[in-house]
Amino acid sequence: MKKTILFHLVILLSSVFLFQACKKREEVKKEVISVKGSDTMVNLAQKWAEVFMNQNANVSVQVTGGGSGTGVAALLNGTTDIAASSRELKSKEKEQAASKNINYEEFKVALDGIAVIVHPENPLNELTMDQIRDIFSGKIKNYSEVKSGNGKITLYGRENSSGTYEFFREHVLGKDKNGNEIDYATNTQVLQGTAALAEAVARDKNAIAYGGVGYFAMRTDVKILGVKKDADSPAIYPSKDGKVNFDDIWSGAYSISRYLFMFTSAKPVGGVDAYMKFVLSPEGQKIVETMEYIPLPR
Amino acid sequence: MSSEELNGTAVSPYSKKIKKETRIKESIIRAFFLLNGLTALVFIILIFIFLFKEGINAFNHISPSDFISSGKPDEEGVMQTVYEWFPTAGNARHSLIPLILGTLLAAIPATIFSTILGVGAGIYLSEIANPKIKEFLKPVIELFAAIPTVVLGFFMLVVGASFFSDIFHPTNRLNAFVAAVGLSMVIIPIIASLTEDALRSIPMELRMASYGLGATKWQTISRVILPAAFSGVSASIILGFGRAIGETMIVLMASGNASNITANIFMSVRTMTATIAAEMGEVSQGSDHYYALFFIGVILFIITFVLNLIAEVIISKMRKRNTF
Repeated sequence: MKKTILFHLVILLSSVFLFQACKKREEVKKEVISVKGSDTMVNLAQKWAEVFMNQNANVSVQVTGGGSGTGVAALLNGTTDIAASSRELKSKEKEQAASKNINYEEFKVALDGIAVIVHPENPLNELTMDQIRDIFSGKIKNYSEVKSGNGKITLYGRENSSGTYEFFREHVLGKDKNGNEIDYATNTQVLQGTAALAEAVARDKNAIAYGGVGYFAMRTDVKILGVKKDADSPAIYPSKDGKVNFDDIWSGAYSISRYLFMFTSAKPVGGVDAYMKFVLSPEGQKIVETMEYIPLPR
Repeated sequence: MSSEELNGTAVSPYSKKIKKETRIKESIIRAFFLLNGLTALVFIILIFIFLFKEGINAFNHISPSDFISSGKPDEEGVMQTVYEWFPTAGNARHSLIPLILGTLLAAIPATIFSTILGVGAGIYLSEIANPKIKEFLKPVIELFAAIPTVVLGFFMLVVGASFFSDIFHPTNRLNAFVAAVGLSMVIIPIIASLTEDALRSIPMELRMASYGLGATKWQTISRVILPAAFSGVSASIILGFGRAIGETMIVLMASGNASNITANIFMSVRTMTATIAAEMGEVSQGSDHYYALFFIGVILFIITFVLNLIAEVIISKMRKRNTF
C-alpha cells in the first residue's frame, strides 16, 4: 500500500513538472512587457494593454501600479520596461539615470486635470489658486476665511509617493517668497488612492481634497470647485454637467492640469515600440477619453 | 501492510533490540525536525541582520538628531525647530516624534479597552461560565483573532468611523480612537485567552481554601485568584500592547494617517507601521527616505522585542512559582 501511494505521488509530481515545463516553452514565444507606475494611470494603462493585446496576440502587457515614484524607481532598477508617471522626472532621478547610463525616452501620453472637491452640501463654489494654496498648506483653517459659511476645514490628501501629491505641491503650493517649498499642512489626512478620497469627502461635510477630474466628474456625491487663476479672473470649472471640460484644460485656462508621461529605458523596440505607438495612435487616444482622462490635443 | 512495519511499531523505542533499520529511520526523522527548527532560526537571524544592517545605515544618510527634529525656515526666513515627517520634500525632514506619538495614541487606548474587556472575558471564561457556555464562547472569542486585519480595517473605515463620528463628532472622521477600537478587536482575544490560561493554572486548592473561609465568588476572584495570577495577566496585557504597536493594516486604514502631534484621541494620527506600509513600496532603493523607513523598522522591532521579552520572563517566572 505504501509503495502504491509513493508511486502515485511520483507520477503526480512528475506530471506537474512536465506540465510546468510545457507551459514555460509555450510562454517563451510571447514577449512580455511590463508597465509600472502611477496609480492615476493604472486603469488607463490597463485598458490600453487589453485592447493592444487583442490586436497583438504575441505580446503580453502586464500593468501594475504603486505610484509614479515606484515606476520610475523600477525603470532605473531595470525591473520594468515602461514607467508610467504623472510627473516629469525629478532632477535626482535624472542624475540616477545618468549614473546608470540609462538613456530613457519620454512620451507625453495624455493629460490629467486635478479637481478640488468638497462635500455637496458645502456652499463653496470657487476658489482662487492662492486660496487653494493657503487652505492646503494650513494657513486658512476655517471656511469663513474664504467667505463660505462657517466650519473647520478638514484636509484630505494623497500619499507622499503619489504623482498627484507631487504635482499638486509643485503646481499649487509652490514656494514662499524666500524660495522655500511650501508643505502640506501636517494635519492633512492621508488616504490610499483617489477612490478612498472621494468616499471620505462624500462622508465629511467639512472635507476638501484634490484628485483627478476624470475620477470625480461622474460622481454626484462630491462637488467639484471652479478655480480662478487670481482674484480677478473668471472661475474655470474642470467639468461641466458630469463631463470633463476638455477645451479649458487643453488651452491651459484651467489652472491645475498636467501631462501624463510614459518612460522607456531606451529607444523602444519590438513590443514596447508597438505598445507606445498604439498609445499615441488615434485609437489609443480615444481610449483616453473613454477612461475619463484628457486626450492629447489634436 | 508489510511485516517490517508491524515489527517496528511493536518494538518499544526504549528496547535495546531496536532494529537497525528503525534506528536509521528515527535518526532521519530527528534530523528532519532539527533541520526545520534550525531553518526557522536561520531565517530569523538573517532578518535580524538585514534589518539592522539597513537600519544602522540610516546614520550614514541622516544624522541621529534629524530623527528627532530638524530646522525649517519660516516665511521670514528664520530657522524654526520642527518635528515633522516630510521625507519626500525638497528640504526633507525625518522626525520620528509624530510617528511614535501617533503609534502610542492608537496603541495605549486600544490596550486599555482590551484590558478591561479582555481580562473580564478571561475571568468569565475561567471562573464564572458554566462548561457549556464556555465551550461555545471560547472558540467564538478566538475566532475574532482569525478575522483578517484588513477586513477589520475596512469595517472600521466604512462603518465604525461613521458610527463614532455620529456619537462623538470628532475633529477628524478617521482618528486614533477609531483605530484603537479596531485594534481592540485583535487584542481582546489575545488578552482574553492568555488571561484565561493564567487563571486556569491557579491550583484548585486556592479556590477551595478561599470558599472554605467563607469568601464569596467575587471575593475569591478579586482577592485570591487575580493576585495569584497577576503576573500571567500582566504578561497577556504586555503581549497585547506589543501587538497593538505592531499591527499595520487597521491603523493604515482607520487612523487617517495625518502626522499630527497631539494628545487628542479624536484627531488623525500616523503610526510607524502605517508609514512603512504606505511608503516602502514606492521608495527608491538607497535613498534617505528608504533608510529612514528601515530605521523605523528597527525601532519597531526593538519595542516589540523588548515587550515580548518582558512578557516571556514574567510568564516563565510564573510557571516556576506555580509548581506548588
